[in-house]
Amino acid sequence: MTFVIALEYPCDVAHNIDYSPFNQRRRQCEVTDAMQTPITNISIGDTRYPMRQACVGTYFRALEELSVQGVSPHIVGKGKSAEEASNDFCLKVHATLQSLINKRPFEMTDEDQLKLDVISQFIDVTVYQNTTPIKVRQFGRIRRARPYPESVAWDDGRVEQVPIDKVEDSDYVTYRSGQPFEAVVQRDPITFELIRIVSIERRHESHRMPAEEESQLLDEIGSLKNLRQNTEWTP
Amino acid sequence: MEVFFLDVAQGMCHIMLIGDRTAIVIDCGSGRRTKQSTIPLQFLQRMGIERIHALLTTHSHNDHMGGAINILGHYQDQIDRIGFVNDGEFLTSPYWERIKELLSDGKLEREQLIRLECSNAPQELWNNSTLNAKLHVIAPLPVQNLLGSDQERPNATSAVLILDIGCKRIVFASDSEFVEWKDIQRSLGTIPCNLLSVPHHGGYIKCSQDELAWLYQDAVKPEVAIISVGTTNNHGHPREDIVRALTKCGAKVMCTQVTKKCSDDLESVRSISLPKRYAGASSKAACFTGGGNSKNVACAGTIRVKIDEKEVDIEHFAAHQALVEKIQSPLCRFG
Repeated sequence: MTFVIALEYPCDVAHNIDYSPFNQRRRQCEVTDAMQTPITNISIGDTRYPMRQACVGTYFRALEELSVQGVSPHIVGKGKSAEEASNDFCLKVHATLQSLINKRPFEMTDEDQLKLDVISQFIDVTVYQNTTPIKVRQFGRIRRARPYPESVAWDDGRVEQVPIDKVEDSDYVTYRSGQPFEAVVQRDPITFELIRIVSIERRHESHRMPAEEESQLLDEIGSLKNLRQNTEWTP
Repeated sequence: MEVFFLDVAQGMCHIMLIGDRTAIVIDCGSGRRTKQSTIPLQFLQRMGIERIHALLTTHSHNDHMGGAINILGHYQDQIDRIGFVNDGEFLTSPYWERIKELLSDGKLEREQLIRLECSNAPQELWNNSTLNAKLHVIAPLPVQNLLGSDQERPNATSAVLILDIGCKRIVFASDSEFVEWKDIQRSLGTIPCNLLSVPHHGGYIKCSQDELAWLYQDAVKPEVAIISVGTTNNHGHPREDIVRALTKCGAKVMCTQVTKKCSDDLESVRSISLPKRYAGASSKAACFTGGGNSKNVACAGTIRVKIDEKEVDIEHFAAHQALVEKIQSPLCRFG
């Protein structure tokens, strides 16, 4: 006796997508051929996505596919076992989200927008963005080291406390006052507070450009003559 | 594309997101040694920007250039062009020192540096045929630049830029003074625009009341005027006569932050302010200066504008206008 699998997708009128062939393939599966797999978290490497709620995937052994209500058929996990398909599903979500997250709305196709909407149903993208640290390259010099570095003065004039335990490179402890450096700094995306310094390296005092060379440089720069001139423009 | 008018407190920063993780930055306020100087970089990072097509500083005051050194530090080898005005203060800035270092290190080429000037016609800085977008410099003239540089008045030689997308237009007026607008009007006539970044944060631009009325009737006619201003600025920005001149010409006015000129009780404004959506200086949590004055209270906060050939859409414009109605005595309602 053949049972109809409950997992079925309605016709998406808004995006003019008909899921009937996808549904039909699943209807042909016997219920014993399907297995439910809970997906409680999606983590790839250091990236962990905050889920709005745990979701349940259905693994169809005959098709070697894992479908998730609301997400499939846009994203389907493939694999010879439920676990393999589940991992593939998570990887596909990760790849899709990372490719879409830095696209601006005006760059997105309807399909991109649809995929993002679908993923946003079970992953809280805003929370993910608000909790993922940003990494910036910054230049500065040691402001105080008594005897070990405590605070730095960044290029923009700001002073910040950077204790040794916030710096991954152990050589930092040997830096003296006034030492210029270049660092990759992990910061809070909302407050821009320092989380830690991922890498740091000493910089040599760069040689000052002689006044004559500077003056020559300024003469060379000139105006926008190297750009297009007198283009069409109407008030 | 999108244009963001960043809330950097008392300063100016406009960022155009042109697609493909690329941006054009026009000014990077605010002052050095302030936390606000990191806002432009923070914003760019949060938007996932990987390349800066042009990093433009319209003049060399810190409230326009203070954060440029952070952007230059992070994106040093991912910047196509660096545009600046060689006014009196530029050559003594740490930003110029860093540019020279990068040139010496071979991370920048001299050809990437451009001086923002125009001769007798607007000069094109950027264009994109897919977006039908063009960015032009319309001021200063080389002679203004020389005079301003000698007089050490960077405002008088601020670069003025115009973004055209089809028939839609945004004017970035920086801290330009009236004298520049006289020349602009003489050579280009009246410039109608959908959006104007109001000169000098709505402050004094060295002109009389009559000249002010002329400016917003005959030189530049905006539908919406955006004033980048900080709650605790001690320059008296925005000025009542400026806001009045703008509203009189029919412009809707939006400020990034609210000042005491609009309400005595700034904390009550903070409590009803719109949720913060983008990087910016204003805070929903109460914060005060050492003297106990409210600081960083958003009016519109960071403003996002979606612009294409068909429309200019200011995000949450209606919600902001509704908020203004709840403020005690908003300057922008005097007109």
